[in-house]
Amino acid sequence: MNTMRALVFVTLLSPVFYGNLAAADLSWCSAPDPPITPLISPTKPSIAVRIVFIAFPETSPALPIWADSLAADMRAFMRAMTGDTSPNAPAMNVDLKIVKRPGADSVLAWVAPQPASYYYGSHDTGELNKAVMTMIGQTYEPNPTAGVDAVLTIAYKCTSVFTPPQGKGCDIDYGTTGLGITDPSGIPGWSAIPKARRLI
Amino acid sequence: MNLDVSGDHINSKLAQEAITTHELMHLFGYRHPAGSGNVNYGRYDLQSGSQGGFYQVVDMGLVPIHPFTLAHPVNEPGWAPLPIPIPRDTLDLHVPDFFGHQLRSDRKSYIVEITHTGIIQSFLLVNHQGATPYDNKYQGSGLLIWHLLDPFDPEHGFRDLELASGKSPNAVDGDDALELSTPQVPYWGSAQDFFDGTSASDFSYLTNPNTNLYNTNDPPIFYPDPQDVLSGFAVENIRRSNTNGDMIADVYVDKAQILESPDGGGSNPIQRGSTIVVHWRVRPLLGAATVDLDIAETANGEFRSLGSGLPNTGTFNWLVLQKGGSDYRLKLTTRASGGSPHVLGTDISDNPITIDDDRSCP
Repeated sequence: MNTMRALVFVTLLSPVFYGNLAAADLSWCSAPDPPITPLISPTKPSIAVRIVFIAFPETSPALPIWADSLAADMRAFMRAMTGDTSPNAPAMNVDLKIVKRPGADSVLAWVAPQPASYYYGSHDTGELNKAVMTMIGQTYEPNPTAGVDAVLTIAYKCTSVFTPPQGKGCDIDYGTTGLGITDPSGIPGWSAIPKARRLI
Repeated sequence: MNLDVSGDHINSKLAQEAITTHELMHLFGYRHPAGSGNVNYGRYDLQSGSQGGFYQVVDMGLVPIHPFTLAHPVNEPGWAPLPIPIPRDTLDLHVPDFFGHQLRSDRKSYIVEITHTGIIQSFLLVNHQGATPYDNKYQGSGLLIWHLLDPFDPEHGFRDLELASGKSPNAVDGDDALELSTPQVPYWGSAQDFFDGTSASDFSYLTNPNTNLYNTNDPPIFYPDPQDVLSGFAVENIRRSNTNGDMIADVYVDKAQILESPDGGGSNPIQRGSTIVVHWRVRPLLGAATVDLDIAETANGEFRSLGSGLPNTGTFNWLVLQKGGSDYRLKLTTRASGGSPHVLGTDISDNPITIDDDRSCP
């Protein structure tokens, strides 16, 4: 068990963090980014990332038909941005895969046990993430997300309770946020130390 | 806004590619470009994110990451070299295709620091990234040139992309809102308007967009302060190499014209009594009207006039009547036109000039 490996669990909710800021109070934008400890660098060029699509009972469970090409495009993009053929400075090598459901359900997203409003209202995205990761851990042995460096979720609806100064997350002007799993106990096969991150 | 999972909405894929990769790059150590109020470059930097809210990349999908961002992650060596400083006028500067070079050491961008009392601004000059599939979204090719404000300060890294739209910057507030059309901000230019060496070959204080500086150091927020501080910085004679596709340009850090010859050094002294053609490089975009040529007997000696108010043709026939010496200096002073011509800049020969006075007296 690799208990020293930091596993980052982030949530991407919808394409709103690029929202038009023309009329918005921009004060939050000017805050410096929090310190970042990079997971990857020219001296550690390889990283394992998994993407999990999360649907809700009230949404279609279908995976986008572009789910696979999304991963392929991202891999190619990162390699192109960081490309290097010299032996001591390789390009960024991202082992990026979609965590799919087994069998015929592989064309479907993982479905959250509760409607999105449940998480957005009084619970939080971390609870959603934990529920889905538990589902994955109970489906696969070993857990396909165990030991990888980062797991990203793409939820079909907003579940964030992150509250920037001007209001709740998922607002078109204020972007989305991801909350990590703070208590991984009970997730089968989860061997890493989770780390909470907020991403804007 | 929720994900479109209908399966055939291409914009959803483009958006998710952009957002997911943007967030992933954060985990990899790449922050948003520092500062606030960055202008114009959302479509030129995937990590510009929400801070470039005017210039959303969502519909564009993946677009390249800004070379400076690639070179300057947090706490770690970058995936690209830092821009190379240009401290002095540099002719025929070759700017290779940044992403076309797979060896990181071959990737090059250039930065010029412009010194001006009370204002700390720079320009980053970088080639376009036309060798990746991600640039095809721009359908353009050529140099990108950026205003930078203290770019190495992570909290004040304002960046303003200048393109050769011919419509920017706005004379009032300096804003040059490319690819944007709103009731507040009309459309002023296109993300495809590169300095391509064909339709746009020059960038100076006389062109539009121009090289003028913002009049304060305050990080502007979308509507910058006026760009009304004259700058001598210029990128002129932009063209593309026929042999390797490099963009080539002459970069000037001030408003001087360069004295090309005689520039001292070498083994052939000038003979007293001969006529020497003095050459300087004419900058058509400088707004120069006349030049003065002066000569000093020593490096620290007093300059005496060889000619003043000379036409700025690039040549002057100098009848050498000075006595022999091995430490002469020539000075070229460039003056603007107008009722009271003012000095734009001066250039002094780099090396001592030798005049031989060994003629036999008649």
